[in-house]
Amino acid sequence: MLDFSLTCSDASSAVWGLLDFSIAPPLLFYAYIPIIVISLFLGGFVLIKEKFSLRSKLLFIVSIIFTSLLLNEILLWIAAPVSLVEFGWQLEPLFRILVAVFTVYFIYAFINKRDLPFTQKLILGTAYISVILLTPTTSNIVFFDLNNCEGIPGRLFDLTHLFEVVSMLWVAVITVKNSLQASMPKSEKYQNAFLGGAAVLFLLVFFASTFFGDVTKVYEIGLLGPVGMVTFMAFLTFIIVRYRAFNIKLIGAQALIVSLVVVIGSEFFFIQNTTNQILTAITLVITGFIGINLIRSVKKEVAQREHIEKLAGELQATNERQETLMHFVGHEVKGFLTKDAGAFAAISQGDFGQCDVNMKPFVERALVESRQGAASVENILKASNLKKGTVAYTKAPFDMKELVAEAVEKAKPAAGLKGLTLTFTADEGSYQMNGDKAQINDHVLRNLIDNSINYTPSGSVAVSLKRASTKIIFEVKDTGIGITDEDKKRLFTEGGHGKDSQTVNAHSTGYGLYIAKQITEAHNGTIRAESEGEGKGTTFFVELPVKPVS
Amino acid sequence: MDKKSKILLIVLILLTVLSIGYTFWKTVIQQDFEVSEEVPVKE
Repeated sequence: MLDFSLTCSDASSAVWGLLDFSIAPPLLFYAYIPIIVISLFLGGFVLIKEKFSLRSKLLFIVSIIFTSLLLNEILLWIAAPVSLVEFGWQLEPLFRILVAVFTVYFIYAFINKRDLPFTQKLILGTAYISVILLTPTTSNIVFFDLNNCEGIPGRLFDLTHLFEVVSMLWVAVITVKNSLQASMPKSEKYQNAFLGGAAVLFLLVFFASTFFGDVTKVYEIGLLGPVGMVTFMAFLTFIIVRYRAFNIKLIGAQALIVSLVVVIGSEFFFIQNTTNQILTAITLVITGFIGINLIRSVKKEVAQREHIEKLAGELQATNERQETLMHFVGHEVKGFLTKDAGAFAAISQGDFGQCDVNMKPFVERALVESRQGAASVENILKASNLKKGTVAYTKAPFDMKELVAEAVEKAKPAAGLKGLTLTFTADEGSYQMNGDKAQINDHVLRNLIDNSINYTPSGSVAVSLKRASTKIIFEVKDTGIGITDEDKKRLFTEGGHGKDSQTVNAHSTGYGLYIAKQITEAHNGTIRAESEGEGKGTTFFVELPVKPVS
Repeated sequence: MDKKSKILLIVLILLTVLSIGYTFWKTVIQQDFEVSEEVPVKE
């Protein structure tokens, strides 16, 4: 049979002989009840929204344990029978250690996006087992002090405080370790740092308030502990709104504010003290005002973000369709131009009988233009493939000096037609390197040399090779039209034309230098252009890494 | 959740229920705890 006859000396007019609200400080209800409602609401809301993911389950468990702890705290203040108060005191370390254990578990799962390793679970489990085994013993509550109506804490409370400090450090280590990961996006790092920091703050306030409450025997200090949970929830709400953690949008912020207003408003039903009523009214008005503004701003931000995301999605889909179409058209046109070039070449070379003397210049001109057309289309297709990352590189050792010499030889007729002097010099040394010889030749060397010839109306084009200890430097210096500062910005961009480039070179696609840059970078090299300005010539530099000369 | 974690969880839940149950039985039903009206001098 339950016997509740022994009550604390200060207990009076107990409800059903069990509960006495007279000695409970108003702060108990004012602070604890809203915190219970908010933490349960947020935990439950996230659980449903996240479809019972591991981290949402853990957050929900934290909020349930925290609620149990706060209800137990309320029980300690309002229970009249000594046996119930003693029972509440005995459960205190158990709830406290569970809050610490699951906060560590939640932070680990949230930040690392995976379950806690079993060894770490075992460490947390061992700490917890030691607490539950000692719960019914006098190591937990030494005896019950009837005068002050409180349990006298034993060594188990010290052990719990120690574990709270350990868990705080544990959370800090998880957070710091995560922030040192170089590969993680900045926004995710900030999000994790906010949450980890909030959890540390929560555990710190939680630990410090009860520790000092226990040490000084002023248990009202302990009432401040759950305020840490408010901080934690506030940070959690912030990262939900700011970084869209847990994938909760507007409804989360709206529901949170509404529940906060309802909870604070509901305090009027049980607060009797005029000062507290005024305080609650002021809090209610401030919360309502801030809440409305927060909802408005979140609503606006969410609407804008969704609109931008929708447009970005549509744009991406359109781009993909255009890319596919461009590829199809490009391949078709290249096929026709190649066939035309073949036909013009056959006519020009007399495969269908002697070509008419009057017709021959036109056929040769048509042949050159068909080839230029095919090369232009080829460039655009190549740039598109580079962008998609579908270009395969076949790397093998080759001699860069030989390759440059061949490229210069092949470009000499074009330079000769324009009356340009094309020279090639190379410093002493080995020019052996590893790379895709064909891609470097066609799209870097030839591209830069042809480019210089095309944009140099008169004067010279000087090609040179230099060998540094860890790199080969390829230079093409011309006395051409030069590059303005404005043009420099878009020189190596996709389809980037100089202001007058198409006036000088009508066949410029704007993809040549973009391709050269992509291929150079695929070989871990760099490419750049220097020019003192319009009409003052240009020098292109390509630096490709090689093994140091032994 | 892996098998080892499930076993650990079940063990912890069982121990918790047993511990709370026993503490309730000992404290609230049996009233087996020391009550003092004087605060003793700490060791």
